[in-house]
Amino acid sequence: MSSQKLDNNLISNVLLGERSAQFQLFELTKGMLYSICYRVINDEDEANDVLQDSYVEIFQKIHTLKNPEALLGWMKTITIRKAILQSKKKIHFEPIEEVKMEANEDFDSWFDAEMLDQAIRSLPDGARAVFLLIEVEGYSHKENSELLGIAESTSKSQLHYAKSLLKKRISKLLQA
Amino acid sequence: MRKLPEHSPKSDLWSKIQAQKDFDAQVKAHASNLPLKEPKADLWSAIESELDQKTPVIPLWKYGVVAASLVLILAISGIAYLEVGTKDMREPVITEKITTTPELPTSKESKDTGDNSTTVPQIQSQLAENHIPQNQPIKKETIAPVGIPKLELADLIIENPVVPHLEITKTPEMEGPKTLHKVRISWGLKEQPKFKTTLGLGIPEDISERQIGRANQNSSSIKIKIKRE
Repeated sequence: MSSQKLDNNLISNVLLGERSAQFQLFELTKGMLYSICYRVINDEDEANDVLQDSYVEIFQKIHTLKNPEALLGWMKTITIRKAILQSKKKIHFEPIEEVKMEANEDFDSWFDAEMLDQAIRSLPDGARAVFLLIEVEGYSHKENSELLGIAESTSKSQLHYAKSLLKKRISKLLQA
Repeated sequence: MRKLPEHSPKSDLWSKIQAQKDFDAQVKAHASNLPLKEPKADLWSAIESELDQKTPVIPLWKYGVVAASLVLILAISGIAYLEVGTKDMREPVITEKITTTPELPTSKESKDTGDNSTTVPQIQSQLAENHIPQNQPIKKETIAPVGIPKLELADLIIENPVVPHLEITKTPEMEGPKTLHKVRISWGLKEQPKFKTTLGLGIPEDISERQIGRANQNSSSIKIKIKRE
């Protein structure tokens, strides 16, 4: 959806505050935004609440959007910020030193998107947030560190940690 | 049945397949195709109701405009008040002229000069310098006593009086018969009922005062005691 362009007419109608246009935009983007929310928060009810707040803010502040073409990215950022704020209490960055890391783990198998999704959900909160923002949403380490309020080095180490955990989890899923 | 010719793949195919096993490459390929989740069905109605409830956000510049206009109104009204107020000002009518009394030399000054005595002519000269009007003698006007003329009237002579002679006869005082009883009257006196007994005296006992109804009489009642002497 992120690569998909929204109709300019729809965007202008949303900017005018038309309820039908707002509903149309909601229908087009709800899956994408809810998926981000749910993966960051890892709780259905909380993700629904966050998404509701996000849409309300989007429709109320849409007149402040200077570049209408960046609407989808802007909506994503609002939702991610709210999701991070919601899960701030839960997000805990495990100290990497305490985890047994296997250097240069060999990964010799194929997996699909469904399997990757399952493995992502099993990650610890901190590592999951970092992996989602960098690998799935495409943020840089700098942007990620600003969003999560952590150092860039922490972001890098947590991403590495998340990947090593994912390899283990996917291998287990393949063996099962 | 003729056999179709066999074609062999490129020699680097296996290596390419193995390369696809790379974890990062697979993550990159699948990240954008992760399964989409759907929110709850009634989410839109909740959003819509919240949008209807919330008042539209007023931009900050509007608050600024309101504040600036208020300041402007206050400034204009303040200036107008000051302008009009000064024009209407009238000098108050002075009904009393306050004059300062001459400063008498204090004890400190006198000490400095070393002269403790200030003479009356000196004070008078100081008063003259300050142009203070001196006490002038007050004219006292005395009112002459008003005389009342005496009226000279002739003596009144009654020739034929209506009552020729008034005789006042003394009525003898009515003296009551001598009695041996003493009467004591008391209004509201709280007297403790006294009970006397004649036990052992051989006199028959009078139990009239011992009766509760008679002994504890109301304070507002009049008691009459009769004693025989």
